[in-house]
Amino acid sequence: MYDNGMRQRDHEGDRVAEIDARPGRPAARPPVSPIGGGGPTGGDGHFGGGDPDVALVLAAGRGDVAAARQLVDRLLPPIVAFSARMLGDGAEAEDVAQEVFVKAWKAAPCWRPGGARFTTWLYRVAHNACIDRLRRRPASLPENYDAADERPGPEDAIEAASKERTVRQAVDLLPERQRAALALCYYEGLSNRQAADIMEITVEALESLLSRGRRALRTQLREADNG
Amino acid sequence: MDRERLRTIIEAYGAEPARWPADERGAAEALLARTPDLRELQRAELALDAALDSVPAQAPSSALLGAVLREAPAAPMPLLDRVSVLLERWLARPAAAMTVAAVIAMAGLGTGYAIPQSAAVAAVTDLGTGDVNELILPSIDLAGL
Repeated sequence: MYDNGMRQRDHEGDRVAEIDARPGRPAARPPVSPIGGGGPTGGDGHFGGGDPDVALVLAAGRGDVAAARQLVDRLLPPIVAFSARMLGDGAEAEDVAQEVFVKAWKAAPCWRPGGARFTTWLYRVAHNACIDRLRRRPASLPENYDAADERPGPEDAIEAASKERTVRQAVDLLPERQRAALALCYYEGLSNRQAADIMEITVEALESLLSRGRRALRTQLREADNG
Repeated sequence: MDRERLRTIIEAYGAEPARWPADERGAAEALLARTPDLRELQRAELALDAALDSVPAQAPSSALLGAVLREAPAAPMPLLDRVSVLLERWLARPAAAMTVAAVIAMAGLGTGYAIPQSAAVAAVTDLGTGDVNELILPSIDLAGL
């Protein structure tokens, strides 16, 4: 788990970036995220002033249970989903999501409007926590990774599970930054600007990661089909 | 919007125009309508989109939901309640109980010492005025008055 000001090694670009996670959207279709912003539009005003969550965050920080409940109901699912796509492991993804919200509750009482949007900050903390865990992990797929997919069933179900497993493995084999870009933009439906902000890169760099990620996926899936 | 930018958009964001950057979407769709080779690229990306969509999102468990809510900040207690809770917690510690016992014992000892003095004062106050004179005046030579 990274903390404020933690340094992050950027493997692909060979740069070291300062991550300033100051206290300061699910699924593919439709691609508009439920957690703020206007989907992949590139213009959702994800910095400060227009943050629709500020009042809720401050209320939760004062001990308002209903406000905390609203935030959790809306933001926990995408953080879990994002972490699971990054880590390929459901239990570990839940650990990360819990850590993310512990940090969020600590930051909530003194949340400063004007910095990063709350959702951007949450994703950034989750992103950093996932990267940290991935780099500590031995280079192999998680144990029991395929266990849930090996249930017997009708032929269609087996075929669907097999396809799902193949795609999941192909996504897991992507370099972490390409996987993060894909998870944020494609699966979470965030705008390109918000995703770039979370990863602390430019929109151009994000688009490059997305293109390379999709190209690598196509190659892997084609090989899986042929093999 | 030119061909290269449209190609970049399709390759990065996929086949679905709804996923493309909003500020470029209209121009990109217009150009796509008159560019057959890029429509071919769009169809290829559509297959990849379908593959990606076959992997569902993980939902949080109810245990996680409960744990996260339990960890949410609690509302501050009124001052009197806070003092009461702090006192209860303090008294629950063995060292605190021993301290309280020691204070009571010392108060008892102090009271014990105080009793004889108080009794003496009470004895004096119980005396009549004449008796007091007898206690005080003998040392004064009244003959000279």
